[in-house]
Amino acid sequence: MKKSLVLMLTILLAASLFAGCGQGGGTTSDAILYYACGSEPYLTLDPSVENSNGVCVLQNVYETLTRYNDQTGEVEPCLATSWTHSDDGTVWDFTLREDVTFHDGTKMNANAVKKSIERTIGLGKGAAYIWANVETIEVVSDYVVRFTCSASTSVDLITSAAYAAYIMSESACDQESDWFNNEEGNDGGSGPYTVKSLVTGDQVILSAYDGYWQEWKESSYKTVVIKKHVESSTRRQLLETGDAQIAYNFSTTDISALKANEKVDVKYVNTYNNILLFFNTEKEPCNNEEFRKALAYSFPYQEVIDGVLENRGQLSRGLVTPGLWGHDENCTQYEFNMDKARECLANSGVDVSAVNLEFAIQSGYTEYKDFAQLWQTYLKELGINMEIRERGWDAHIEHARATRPEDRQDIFVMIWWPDYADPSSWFQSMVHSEESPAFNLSYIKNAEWDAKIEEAMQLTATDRASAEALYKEVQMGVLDGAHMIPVYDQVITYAVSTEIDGFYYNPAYPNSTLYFNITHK
Amino acid sequence: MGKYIIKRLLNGLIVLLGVVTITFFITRVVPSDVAGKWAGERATEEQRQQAIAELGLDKPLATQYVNYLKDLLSGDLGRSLRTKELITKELASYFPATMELVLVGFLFALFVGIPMGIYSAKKNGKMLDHATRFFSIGAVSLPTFWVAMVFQLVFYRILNWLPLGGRMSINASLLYEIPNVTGMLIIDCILTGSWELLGDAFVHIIMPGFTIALYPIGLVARMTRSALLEILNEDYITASKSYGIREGKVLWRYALKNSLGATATVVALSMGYSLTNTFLTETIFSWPGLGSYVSKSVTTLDYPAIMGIAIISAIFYVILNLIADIIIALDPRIRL
Repeated sequence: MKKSLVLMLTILLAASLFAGCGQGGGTTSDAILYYACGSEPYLTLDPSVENSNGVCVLQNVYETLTRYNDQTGEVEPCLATSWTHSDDGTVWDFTLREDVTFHDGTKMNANAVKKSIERTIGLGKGAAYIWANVETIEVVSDYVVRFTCSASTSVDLITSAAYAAYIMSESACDQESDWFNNEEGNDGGSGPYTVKSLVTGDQVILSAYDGYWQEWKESSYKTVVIKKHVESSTRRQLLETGDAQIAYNFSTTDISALKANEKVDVKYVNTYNNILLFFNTEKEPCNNEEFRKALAYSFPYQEVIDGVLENRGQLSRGLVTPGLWGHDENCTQYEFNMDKARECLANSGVDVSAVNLEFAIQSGYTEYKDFAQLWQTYLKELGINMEIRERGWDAHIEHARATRPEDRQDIFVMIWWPDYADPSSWFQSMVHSEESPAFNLSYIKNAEWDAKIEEAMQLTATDRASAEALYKEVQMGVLDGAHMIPVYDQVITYAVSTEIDGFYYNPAYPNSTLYFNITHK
Repeated sequence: MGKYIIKRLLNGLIVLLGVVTITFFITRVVPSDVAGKWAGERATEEQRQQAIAELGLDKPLATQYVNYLKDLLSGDLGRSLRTKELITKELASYFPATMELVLVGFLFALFVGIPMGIYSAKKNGKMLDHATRFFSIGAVSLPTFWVAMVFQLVFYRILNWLPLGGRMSINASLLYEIPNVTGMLIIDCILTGSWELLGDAFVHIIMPGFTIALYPIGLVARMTRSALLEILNEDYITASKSYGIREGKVLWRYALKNSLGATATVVALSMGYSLTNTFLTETIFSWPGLGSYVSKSVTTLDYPAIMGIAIISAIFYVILNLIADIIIALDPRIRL
């Protein structure tokens, strides 16, 4: 009896195997755009809360009032057609498009905007702090919304943010975060795609919204699948067989294989992310400026990019990455020069035999360990002893925030990116003095710079040119004194099938691309 | 037997309580910016305070522990600090996926491993024996991720016979409604009668299932072989043969049953172990199971999730151990 049951089950499975193989049920008639994601496609799909990869989905399901054009550096209209602000930059009026509907059919209007932003501010999670200066949001008329701020604020830049700036339907605003993460696919967006279904933390299927306010093309993709494939080799194989059309972040061998493949285009795209080294200016010997410069000259920048990163990075110039306003092509930058390093070391008067530097790095990132070890060998040539300490993020940051400067590391490494297209992110977080350290991990306490940073933030809305000049001044000062040095700007590798057109990566919107603009040939 | 099971279950509850308590206190001793995880790294002081209040972190540790136990009793495992999702919901999504993989893997292992062990014992010392022993050692020693990648390369990339990974094809998930009864696709498809989806799901589970099966195949084969060898030398086997009972019947009906005890224990324990160690296979086959959830939770110190995983693993270990003991107890020679 038992044997026959087993036999039956086996036959049943075998039969269904053939049914599955033959795909007798037919395939969908439309082409599917398959994006092989290197990690979870989202942490949460609640647009008020998500501060991570989920933007690869949210950017296509929801929209913001404005968008940042990385090529011109200008803020462009999206859901808003135009905007004005008061002379002092505290009151902003946005005029909205009148032809936009949300996926539930309701119209996008000033009420929806007010409710969406207030929900984000109220929940207070993710990047909600970008709205910190906004005191009130008023509905002036059906399609005009007014933001009143406590100080001069560049609201148009904030509304173009990749996080925390999405506009959703009023009914969606009433929902709890869990509603957005329901596997049946709920969303309250106005964007070209709706969330069709989810597999928790693994896969998102989007399907086209016919009522979108922009015109669909014949060759647009009506279905988009974003799925997690953690292994670089898996993503590569998907591209090679044509099962996937877009994927990013590959290992060296995979990149070479993809470059050799005619069906795939490999792109090295710039980001606004840079890797920064912070010197502990409150502890010996890094409190000595000449010593810091010696360290800066001994770092093998180009070798790291060629050898460790294999071109997944480019030489930095200043704290603010290229493509963003505030970037200074003429900013002081240190190059790898052992002679200059020796000279600065001699000038510093520091006795290297007594020096034992602690370089704190975050664990889990092989590139940090690799370049730290490379740097270590060059420092040895100078007679400087450096110890590399790896810690998990929590311990790493806690160590840097220890109460007494002597208990903290000598050198700290961290990646940074702006929350939205504004250089203040670097200055306010990492240069402006702090009572107790948060992200100013060189522990810079310079009142003159503080004043300039605050003034620049005030001027951004009304006089961007002056704000930019101020940022550049502070930037120059920080680099001249080698308080912290950017070691490289991150570059990501994307591989795109030659069957598609219209792929574009805008660094202001990390890890995402607009599927609406992609067409198949 | 009944009393035995109840006693064991009670023991299991004590084990569970121990696991919960130890994990609870350890995760809170390790340095961790909990408010930062909930509110965001760059959160303002105000947001952090709001987070601390929301998570109940301002209460003394003992109160937090009691509250946690209270919530646990009502089935609330809390929310992941990282995704803010209910942990029960995440586990309900990931756990069946891994469970399905492990079950299929172990079924493969039993179907292949036991016959291998038997023939190995029967043809002791001959070529077949050497070949299967070589295979079992290989199965146990070959690194899982390497085997997985080779399977993927050969069967997907080169031959294109099997899909790259995932639980079902995109076409299938778009065209058919996916049944959700237990969360284990194959069982759900059989229960609801979705035959085309069953085929698709089965085709997807072949490679990862077989990769998971490798280690247990080796294990089962070797254990079955050694247990059988011992038994085949016993007097009662010689006696049965001399009574004229067919060799096959002797082997399968009499000898095998007696050897199952040790094998059952080992299989049960390695199943429990596999449940939280499918990370490598799941990564390569993009299987949405517990593996990456566990690793992500541990590396980001997402302690509610870590506790949820610890609890569910402990529960399953207890159950599997109990099943193993019951199987052994079926042997009348063992007095409970």
